[in-house]
Amino acid sequence: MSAEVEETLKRIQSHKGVVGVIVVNAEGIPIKSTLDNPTTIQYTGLISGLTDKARSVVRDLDPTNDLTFLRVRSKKHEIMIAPDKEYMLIVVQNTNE
Amino acid sequence: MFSKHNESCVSFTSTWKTEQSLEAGSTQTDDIVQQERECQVVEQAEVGTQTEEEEARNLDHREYDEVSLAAFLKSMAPKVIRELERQNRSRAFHGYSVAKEEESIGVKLLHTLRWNLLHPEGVVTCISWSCTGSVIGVSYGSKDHDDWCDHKGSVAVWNINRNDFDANQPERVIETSSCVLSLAFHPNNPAVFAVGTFNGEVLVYNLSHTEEVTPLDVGECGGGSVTTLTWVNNLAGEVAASRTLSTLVATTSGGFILVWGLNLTKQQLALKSGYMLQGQDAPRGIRTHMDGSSGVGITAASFNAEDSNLFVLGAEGGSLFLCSATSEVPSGVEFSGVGLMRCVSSTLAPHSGRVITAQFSPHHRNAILSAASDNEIRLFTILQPNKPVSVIHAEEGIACVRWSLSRPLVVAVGRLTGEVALYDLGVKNCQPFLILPAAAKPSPITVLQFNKKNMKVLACGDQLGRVCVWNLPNNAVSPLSSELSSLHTLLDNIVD
Repeated sequence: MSAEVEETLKRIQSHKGVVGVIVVNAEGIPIKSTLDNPTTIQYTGLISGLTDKARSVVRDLDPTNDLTFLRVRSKKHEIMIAPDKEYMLIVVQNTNE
Repeated sequence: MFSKHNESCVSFTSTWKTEQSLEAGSTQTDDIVQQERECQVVEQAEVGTQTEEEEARNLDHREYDEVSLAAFLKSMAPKVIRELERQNRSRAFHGYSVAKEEESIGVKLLHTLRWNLLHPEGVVTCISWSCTGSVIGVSYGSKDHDDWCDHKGSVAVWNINRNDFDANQPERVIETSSCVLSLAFHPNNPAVFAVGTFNGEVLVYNLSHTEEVTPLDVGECGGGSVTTLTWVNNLAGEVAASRTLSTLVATTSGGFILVWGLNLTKQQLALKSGYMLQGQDAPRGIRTHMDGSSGVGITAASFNAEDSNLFVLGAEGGSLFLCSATSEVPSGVEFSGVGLMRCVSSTLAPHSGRVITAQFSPHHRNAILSAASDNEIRLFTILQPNKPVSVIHAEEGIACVRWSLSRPLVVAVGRLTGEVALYDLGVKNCQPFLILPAAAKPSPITVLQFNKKNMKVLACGDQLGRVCVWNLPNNAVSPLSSELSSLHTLLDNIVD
């Protein structure tokens, strides 16, 4: 199973422009990361907050709805966030310009 | 014998003692009033504060349920990969650039630093910002030397972020026995800087001892004046710079490139290795008649931002050299017990004037900027040394050129007329997009230095010994989203 996890992460990481991949558990603690420690912690902390906010926006608008995917586009990066009940997957990609 | 004698009677009134009278008299001065007061402060207050050291959380041995994680990734990965691919193919954001905020805040002259006690013919020879970005060091020298230098050189240091900052009164001044030509603050330690003099000495100072004005150590460079000083990380076989150990490279007008190791705890500057630029290294067309093994004066030097074994040298005759610090070819010249190596790996198309600037781009491994007294500013790629990929012919005389630290395509040019012009290499028309006006009494700009910590701040020194500290507008500082790729395209523009 461990190999399968690593293999999936590697597959995402090897994609063009991908800078890093982080998996966060339900407590907001990073459990897998291809970035260095301080960057991982910074990304995790900030993005968990943003995702909670985004999810509450979606649910407030329609209580039967839920957030499935969040993309943040910046000048340098595109951050893709795939939240789930137990885990959250964060992928940071360089913009291809 | 005997005669009658008649006694006549004589009388006198008796006077009786009168009683002595005594009178008591007294006199007195005004009362002397004495007062006594005491005052004493008995209250003392003491406040302490300490930050808690936060231990970096370790991610390596985090417990998790592998089965559910694998399931999660399995369901999520295709979705994410599909999005990644769409993002790569998407053209939605092409040509889109975010409107800049605070557009109205334009060019502003923050300070004009001037040292009152500077001798009248003093010119600014070099400027360096400390690693914290708040301390600026300015070195002074004279511009003309007919023979030996008998001027007093000096370095003045200002901290522009201090409350008691005074533009006319530097915080510290250090005087040297001859003109200072180069100055470089240590990359990690804000109190340490190195100074190179006209007489060929490298002096390292530590400002943390407040009253100390003597150098930590002095290195001799064999007589030629020290034209540039650079702190280099990870030079061939040397240690990475730390607070106590670091590597300093000095170039001289005698053609020496000397590598010094500085040990701050031992306060020792030791010559580690050296290279030499010789007459025979110059391209044939401009090789002089002098002896092929004698040195060529180096006027500019810069190390590659990614690979510090790669450096570029500009020489007095206009030639530009690409050099490698890993070279093992002896030059046959020995200096203080160290055999100097030849370092030139190739030459770039030479200028027809004294090279003022040769600088590697801080953003791209292959890009080199050069400028010379023939008023040409060139952009080279190291993949095509014989022909520049872009040339700007400046109408006014140019005195110095620097890459912008924040925008990959922007260069700042100091003119002889005292203005500073900012060019965008991506624009075809060769016109500067921003000109910083000259000071009240215009004088040629001698040196430009961007602040690494606050990239909006540009310091420029002139021949009257003034240093203007400018705040640049946002459009001169924040890069366009496509700028780095434009630089790539420009550099790929190799002509066959």
